[in-house]
Amino acid sequence: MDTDDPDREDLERAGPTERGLDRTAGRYAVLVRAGVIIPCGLFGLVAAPREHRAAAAALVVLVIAWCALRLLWTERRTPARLPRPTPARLVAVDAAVLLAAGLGQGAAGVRFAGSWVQALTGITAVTYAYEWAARPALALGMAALSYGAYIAGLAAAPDGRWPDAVPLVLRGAAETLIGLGCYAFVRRRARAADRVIARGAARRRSAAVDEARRAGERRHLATLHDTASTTLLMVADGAWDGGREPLRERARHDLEALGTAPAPESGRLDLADLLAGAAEHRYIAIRPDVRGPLPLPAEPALAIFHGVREAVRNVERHAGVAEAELYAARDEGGAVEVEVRDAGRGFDPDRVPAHRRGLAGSIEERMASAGGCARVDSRPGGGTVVRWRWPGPGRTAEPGGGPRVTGGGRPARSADRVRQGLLGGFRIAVLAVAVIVQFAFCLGELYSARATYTALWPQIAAFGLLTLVAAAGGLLAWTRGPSLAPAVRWTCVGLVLLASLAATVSVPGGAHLSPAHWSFGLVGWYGLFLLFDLPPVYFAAFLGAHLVLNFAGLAAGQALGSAVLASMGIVAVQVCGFQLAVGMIAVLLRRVAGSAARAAERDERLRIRAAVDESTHRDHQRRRLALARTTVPLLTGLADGSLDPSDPGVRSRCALEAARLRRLFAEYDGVDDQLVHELHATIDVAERNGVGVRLAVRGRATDLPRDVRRALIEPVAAVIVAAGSAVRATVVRTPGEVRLSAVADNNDQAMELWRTLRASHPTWSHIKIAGMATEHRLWVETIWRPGERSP
Amino acid sequence: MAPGGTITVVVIDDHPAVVAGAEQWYGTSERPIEVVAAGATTGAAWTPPGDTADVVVFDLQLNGGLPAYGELRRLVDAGRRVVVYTMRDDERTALTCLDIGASTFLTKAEGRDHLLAATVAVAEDRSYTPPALAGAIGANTAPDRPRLSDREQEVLIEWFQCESKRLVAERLGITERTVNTYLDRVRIKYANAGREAGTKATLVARALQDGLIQIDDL
Repeated sequence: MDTDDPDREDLERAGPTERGLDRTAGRYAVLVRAGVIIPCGLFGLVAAPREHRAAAAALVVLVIAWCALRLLWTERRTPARLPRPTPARLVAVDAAVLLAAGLGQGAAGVRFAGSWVQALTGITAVTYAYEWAARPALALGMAALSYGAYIAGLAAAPDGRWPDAVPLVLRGAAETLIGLGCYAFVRRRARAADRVIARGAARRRSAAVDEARRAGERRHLATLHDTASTTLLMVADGAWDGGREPLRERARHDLEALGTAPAPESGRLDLADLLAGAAEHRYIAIRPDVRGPLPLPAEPALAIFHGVREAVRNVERHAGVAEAELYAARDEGGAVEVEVRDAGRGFDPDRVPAHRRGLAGSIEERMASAGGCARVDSRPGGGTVVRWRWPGPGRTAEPGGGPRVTGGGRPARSADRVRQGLLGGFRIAVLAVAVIVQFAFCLGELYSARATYTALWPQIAAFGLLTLVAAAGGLLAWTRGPSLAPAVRWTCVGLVLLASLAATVSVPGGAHLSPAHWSFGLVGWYGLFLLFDLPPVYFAAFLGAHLVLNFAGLAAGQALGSAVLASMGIVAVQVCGFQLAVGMIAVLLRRVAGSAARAAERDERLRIRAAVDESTHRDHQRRRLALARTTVPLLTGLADGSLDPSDPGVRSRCALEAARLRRLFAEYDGVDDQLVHELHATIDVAERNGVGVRLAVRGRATDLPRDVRRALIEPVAAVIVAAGSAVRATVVRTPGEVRLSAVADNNDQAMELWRTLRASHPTWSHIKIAGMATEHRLWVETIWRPGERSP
Repeated sequence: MAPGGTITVVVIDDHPAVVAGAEQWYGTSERPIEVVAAGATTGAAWTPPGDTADVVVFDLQLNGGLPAYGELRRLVDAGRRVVVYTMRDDERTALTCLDIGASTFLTKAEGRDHLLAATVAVAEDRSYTPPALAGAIGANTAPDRPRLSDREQEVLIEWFQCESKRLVAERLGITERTVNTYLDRVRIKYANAGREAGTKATLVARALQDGLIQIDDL
């Protein structure tokens, strides 16, 4: 195989399990071939007549050299002095050796059908089926070439008994086909396992992308909350009394923060440095106790930094005290702990409405998305403590604390599934081989030799026992899955060995290992069927027992010369070596399962990375665009001084933008009635500005898409926020439509806002906006009719 | 009560402030309205002088508990004209009161003008549909609800949303009078539906008499 070209084209069509299986089978076929051919060649050399020794030795050396070359070529990196193994070179070398061995056997003194050259021919044909499983035509062609050369060579040899070879060749050809069939079957299992892995991977990938997007969104919202939303709300409230310059600086800082990429910040920062900056505040005296340096990954460091600033702002706004304590240190376990504590009036955390996001959104969620945890403890009259904890990389903050998804257990699970699939397939394939060999060949051999046995009944009993094992084992494998119960397994092993003994004892002297001794080659397949999923030593011991039983019977019947022993060795190696080799494949399958799962995991990580990067980038672009239209121009105006924060028009624009952001935050609260909840978030901003809002809701809550909610609320929210004094706001939901409306006292700002909003509102052909202004009143209505879709 | 004469009212509410407020508002009415009795329980409506009052203004949630539908039914069955006057602002309650036979349903948030107008209309056996009630009828999805025309539905919703008949009229390009006609028709349809009650029959009879509906419409 072209092992220097690591699967470049395979990657396109085959999954990791199938890829691994093909590669393993290809390399292993070469190894098995060498393992059978080399000992058989040496036995053949021993068995060769004296006058042909030199030619036989030359041929055996050629064959061994060929095996060695092929083994070298299976290395992942071809040794420097060798040419690269292209398929054409491999086929050319193999064909040349097969022709030389087949046609040269006469010169090497081979006269009989069951020679070492036949062993070479047979094993090459069978292993070719595995080596070139992806190209069955080539495998069959090479098998035909090797058998052709073998028969032609035997026919050309003086006294060559080539007709004897025909049944052997037929049997070999059948084994080749069985090999191809079994391999195709196992391969299909591999493909199915790959599909299962791929489906799981796709699911996990989309989950990971969703998780990353949610985390990104949370980070973005937290940043927005800490920066633009707070600043704009302060301007809107008219609460800004800190002078122009600090406001401009703040707006500049906000713009900077919003411009930074929302991708997870990388690198490390010293938290102590960051906290030194956060500990300076105009009105709140902060007593710091920061035991630096505290190097942290940037993401949790920034999460803590922003959180501390938010906590200090909360002290300023709500605590009613002018001082706070800041503590930060690393504990003995390596975890970093930070605390902001005040002795102010405190609050009841359970009674903070979901849309007031300061604490929940900015501090806790942001820290959670950075892999740590944060907690706010407060009670009315008892002050407030905010704590952050970063447990160090790779650890969870608290039981159930961090939302980090770790990969534990996943590769193991898919490896298990692949292993079950492959081994189950392998067991069925081996049983199929055993049954086919038993009924297609052995039955005929038994029948032809029926008159020669010393007694026929042990033969029939042995055949029956094996049939029983096939039926019972097959049934269990089919119904109970790939693994066998120990009782069943060992009973069957006993029965098979008993059959081996029974079939051997009545074989007449001299007929051992001949076709009349049909059980010799068959018993090993049953042993493999029963034992392949245990460590290979079990199957080796089984084969050993089988060989001992058979050779004991054989040795009792005749005198053994070295030539006879050698030719028997060839048969034994050929049969048992091949079976042992196939048994080793089971071990490899297990390994393939593991490495395939690892490869799948690696592929998956790369794909997840790419998918996450792409979606994060898209989200980032989308958010920038959304902010560029609204928030950014306002902040820019405040930063460069072109907008005057005391101008009522500017204040009402800021209020509107703050309301928009508040509604955006409320989108993520996940309450039952999202529409009303988001409307409440904007009403909240209006009420801070002293607008009295009477909200009435009719009809049942329905699920509306986020965009629809946004389009319904925004125009109405504009009127609510800009209203001078009192507003009547309503929500009406019937099965046919959803309507929002706001009626406000008319004023210039409201009209102005309404006009700009109407002009800039995205065109929603299925959201109707209606408005009406009289001398005293401004009335805006948005209507969504689910039946009327945009064209 | 003579036509145009003083209307007598009994106010049933367990909050003294509400009773005082109502009395004060009624005192500013063009049409003379007099609160003859008040109490925290319906007892005040059954004993003199409350037992002969033209209109019962009834807080549905006495003592803040469950809606006192039983009390309401007893009043309606005795032929009393009841203005349900409540903190509860949800359509289920409004529609149930209407079905029992309350003359109208008003939320306390709707304020003085609606209370006065409702009291006068109810005293004259005319219908009055304040915005909160209009919204409840407009959003009614019960399978056995009376069928309304598109225009009637539209008027109900717009009236609920803006609380100004003038705005509704302007918005829909009709007169305020027509707005009222639509609201009355809807109210008559509801009076004709569901549970039978003397007050409903009176309302329908008065609508026929006023020419709001023809006998064929029924």
